[in-house]
Amino acid sequence: MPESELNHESPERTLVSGDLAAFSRISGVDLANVLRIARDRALVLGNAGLAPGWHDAGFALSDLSAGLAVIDLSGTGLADLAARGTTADLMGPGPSRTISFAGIPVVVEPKDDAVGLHVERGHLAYIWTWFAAVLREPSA
Amino acid sequence: MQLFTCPFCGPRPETEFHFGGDADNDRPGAEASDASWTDYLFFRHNRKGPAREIWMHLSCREAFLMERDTVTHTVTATLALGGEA
Amino acid sequence: MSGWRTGAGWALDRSESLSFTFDGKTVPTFKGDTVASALLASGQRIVGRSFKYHRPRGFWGAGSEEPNGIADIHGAQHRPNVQMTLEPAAQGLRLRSINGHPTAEHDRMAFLDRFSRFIPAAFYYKTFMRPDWHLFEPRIRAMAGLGRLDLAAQGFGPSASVNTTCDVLVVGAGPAGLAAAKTEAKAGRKVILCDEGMHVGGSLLYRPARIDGQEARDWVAAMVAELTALGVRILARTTAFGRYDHGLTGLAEAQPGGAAPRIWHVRAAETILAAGAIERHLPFANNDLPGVMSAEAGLHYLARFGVAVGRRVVVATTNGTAYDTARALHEAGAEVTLLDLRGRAAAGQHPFRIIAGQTIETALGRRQVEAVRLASGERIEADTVLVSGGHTPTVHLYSQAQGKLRWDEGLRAFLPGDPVPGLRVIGAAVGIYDLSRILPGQGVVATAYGSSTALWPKPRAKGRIWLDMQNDVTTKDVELAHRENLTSVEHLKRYTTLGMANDQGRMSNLPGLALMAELTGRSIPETGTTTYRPPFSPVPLASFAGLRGGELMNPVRRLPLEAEHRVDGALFREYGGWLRPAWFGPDEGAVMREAKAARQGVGLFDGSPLGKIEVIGPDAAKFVDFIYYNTMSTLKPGRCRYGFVLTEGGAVYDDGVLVRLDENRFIVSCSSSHVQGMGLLLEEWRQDKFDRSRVVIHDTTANYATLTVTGPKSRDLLQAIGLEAALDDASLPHMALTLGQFQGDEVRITRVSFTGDRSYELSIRADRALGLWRRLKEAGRAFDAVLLGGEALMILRAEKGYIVIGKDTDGRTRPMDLGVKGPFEKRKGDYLGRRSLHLPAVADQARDLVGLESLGAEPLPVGAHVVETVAGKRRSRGFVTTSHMSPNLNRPIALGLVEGGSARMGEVVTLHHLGQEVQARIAPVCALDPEGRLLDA
Repeated sequence: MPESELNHESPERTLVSGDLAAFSRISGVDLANVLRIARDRALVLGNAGLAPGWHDAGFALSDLSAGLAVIDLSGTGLADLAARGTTADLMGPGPSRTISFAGIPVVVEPKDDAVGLHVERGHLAYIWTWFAAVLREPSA
Repeated sequence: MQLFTCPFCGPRPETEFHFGGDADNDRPGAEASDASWTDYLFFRHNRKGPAREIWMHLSCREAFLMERDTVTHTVTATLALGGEA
Repeated sequence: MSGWRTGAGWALDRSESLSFTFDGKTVPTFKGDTVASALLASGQRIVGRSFKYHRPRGFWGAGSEEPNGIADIHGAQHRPNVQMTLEPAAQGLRLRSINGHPTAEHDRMAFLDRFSRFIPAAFYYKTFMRPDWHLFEPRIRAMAGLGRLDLAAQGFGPSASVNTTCDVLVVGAGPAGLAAAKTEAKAGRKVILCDEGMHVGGSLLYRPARIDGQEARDWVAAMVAELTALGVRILARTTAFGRYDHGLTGLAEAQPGGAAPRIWHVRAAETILAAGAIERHLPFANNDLPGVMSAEAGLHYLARFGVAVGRRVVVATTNGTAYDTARALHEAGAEVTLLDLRGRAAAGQHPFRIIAGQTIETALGRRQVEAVRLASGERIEADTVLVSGGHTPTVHLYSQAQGKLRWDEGLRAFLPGDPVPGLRVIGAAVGIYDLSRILPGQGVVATAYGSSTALWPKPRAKGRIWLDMQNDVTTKDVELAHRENLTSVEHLKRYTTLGMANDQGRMSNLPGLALMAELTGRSIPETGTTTYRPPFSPVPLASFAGLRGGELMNPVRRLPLEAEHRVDGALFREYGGWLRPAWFGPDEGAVMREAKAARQGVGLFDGSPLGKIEVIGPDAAKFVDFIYYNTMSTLKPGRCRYGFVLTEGGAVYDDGVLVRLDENRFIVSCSSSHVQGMGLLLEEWRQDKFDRSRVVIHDTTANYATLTVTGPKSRDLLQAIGLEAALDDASLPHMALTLGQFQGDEVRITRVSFTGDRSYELSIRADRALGLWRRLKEAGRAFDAVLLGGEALMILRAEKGYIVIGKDTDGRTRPMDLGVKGPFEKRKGDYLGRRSLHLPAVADQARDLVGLESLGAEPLPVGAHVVETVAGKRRSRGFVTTSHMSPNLNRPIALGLVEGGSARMGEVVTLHHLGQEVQARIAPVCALDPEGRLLDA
């Protein structure tokens, strides 16, 4: 029987589900800095500092550090580009950070002058090809 | 392209959603008769007009109740199941 | 010839002389022309041949209502079926008329018109039936149709569609639309204004008027400037083609250089429909002759392009609008006679001859108009007949939005009835044609049109009177439909094909139903209209596809180690939505070599797409007990169990291994092609049946690469690498897991087998997999390690009778059919699909999965049916699902679903496939090592 916890570094991106308030309390992570992707689920960027699995306070963690690739978009053409890929408002407020972009699920991370699109790493080649095709076109 | 309002995420195009069948089609208990079990499996009301349906928003995987009119496509309500988080 | 250029025409830039070719003839043109205006100016009258009778046809209109002037554009960016009235003329365009062979001018099929009596509407339901319609069909189909596809050409270039929202979408930028856009924009709303024309302005582009002291066109220019300053988005050459749910309107925006029109998905809080009205034709014999045109078009060509469409012009009208046309042509130097069908001339002095109260009985001429004969018998020489039968408001989008039309007897038109939420109709589209009413209080000076009359086609009229130019439907066809009792407007449409061409009955629907109304003694509103459906005008499929072509359609997921596999010479194929190595090496012979070598030494397989969905929480054990057919809560931490997940109907939905990490944490290792579906299934039941605060679902499939090490030497290889874990069989038996380490990263080592050999699946963070994979390859050399592709893996699992869901199972296959009866017989608690397993009668036709041993040397064809004669009829009793030549058994192996198969071991059955029959013996599914000794070898 394997020991349940090995000494490994905390994941850089963590999926957390359950009582998010409890998670915030125990981990010290401010919920304003997480990406909410469902009513009771969020993507934490950076160090959650807790082990994966169930925590009795009422939440569960899973590592997703290697599962996502992020593409940063910035520039004056951002709104035009977004209009090609989604009906959702990329920069808009709203509780949910998960949208459909170019036909695949994407988690949107608003940054200062840019937008980060977190895609499943298996989709990276596709979304990159998509961007190349769109950027070749004249703007609408 | 209809626009549905996920109770958590807000308004999104219908392609982000998955139809989950009639609402109120409660799963019978394990001792259900053959007739009531097959009713649950296969029979749908197929209402013309106001209907109550279960939909799932694929982006956030929230399953919710939608009250909509199957003729006019007007959505009168989308309600979270099991209350607010 | 007839058409000529005057010196005027505000749209033209005459600084440069350009040209294009039409049917091989060079046509001079200027920038600003449309193809149609240039052709008319050159005197070209015949621009196409009609669909059925191959009659010569000329232009009717100046916009999207044009039925005849359609051509193919040839060249690298071949575009078929282009409307010449909307196509900007350009240097070097090569146009080819449609349906005229070799040209529209000289068509060798023109003789068909002489046999028109034998090919009326719906002739194909009655003639050419014996001996067999299919003998005639290819020739008739070849003669029908418009336009040619050039399969060698590139086709439309892609254009991504655009999604946008706004407060107000205004469809149509004529006077009503412009005014509405300004009102809304000044109220601070976000406005999008679109128009299908090259220029915005609608009727103001050609009708004489003064607004607020300005010439109409100057007023338009000022409005455009003001709207632009107010932030209104103005889209020209953009057709609003469809109205959809929840305020969505689809726009198609023409693109330069052969790219497909770009589609806009506009979701507007309110849409204002200002799409104007379309001029109607008049019924008289031979009203389809080249030279018979819309009076409004005649004015349009003159004002905008300076093209006078004829020299001796008869204008026939039921209303006052055509007077603008008559006046303008007279001033340009044409000889004009106006027939006012209202019975008396319009008030005022007119410099041209007016005949009041006389209808045209027939147009005369062989290949174009040469004269008209009135009902009185008078003959008037003419080369052009400009007609106005009134206007039909363009209400399509209102109707598409489920609006109900009402008949207005005064206007003799169908108008929008009760309002539709979110959609308002204004201007000529609601039958308001008077400019001073459309722009009240703006000092409008324009022609007063006065009253109008109606002239519908009459039953039993003499001669051939056209209704639908595109489908060659005449009044006689409507009468035929009536005689055959096809009198509803929907039957009339489908029987005669009236209104079914790409002009969708813009001109033909109303006179057609008016005639049917009279024939059946009903009123026009009682006869009703057919259903309006998008698109308003044709939109290429390439536009709807947008970017979703080639590799951007149904994108495959890519492996973390793809680049490495490419270097190793993998040939890639799609498996379950992922691009994966099928085999390694230049030829397919590698498959057999890999399958053989893997059982002798060790094989390395990239299994990264394997599902890794975590189920976590205090209720996780209860949850997996419900989801799985097999009892799972008894699984100990550190152990794995193979199980089925059923549909509620009792069929096997997925199979896979469930791994228990600890008390509250499981990993569902579902098959790679079912990860999305399983994720949804788990989430659905979590929310529906369980306390979501006590069990959560996390799909971590993408986070890990899973590297499979399989074969008798697999453990030796892992021990040689050093994973800091105890790998002896006592510490890590089959179906158990342990945690190891590789260069500081955790490796989950799961001992499961899909090959039947001793086998380990190593799951490591996807971004750390390369190091481990390379180490495996490097150390593997000492053990004759071979890289395994998907095809070899399929053979290895087939030798063991391990199933692939969806290949060896179908929508009816239950766990008992796969030989797994224990849970059905013994489990007490409820689980997904349990109740369905107890339904009667399903068992009768159950098909068991069995092995099939070919009696010949060749593998059995997949899909071959087991056939038997039952009660005199040949019946299928099952089919082959999997079939391979086995390199390890040196004989063919196969699996199949056979009715009652498990009770028929040893029986020889006959298989039928594509007319051939072979024989096979029913055998156990596992062909190799049935005791499973290789798992611990």
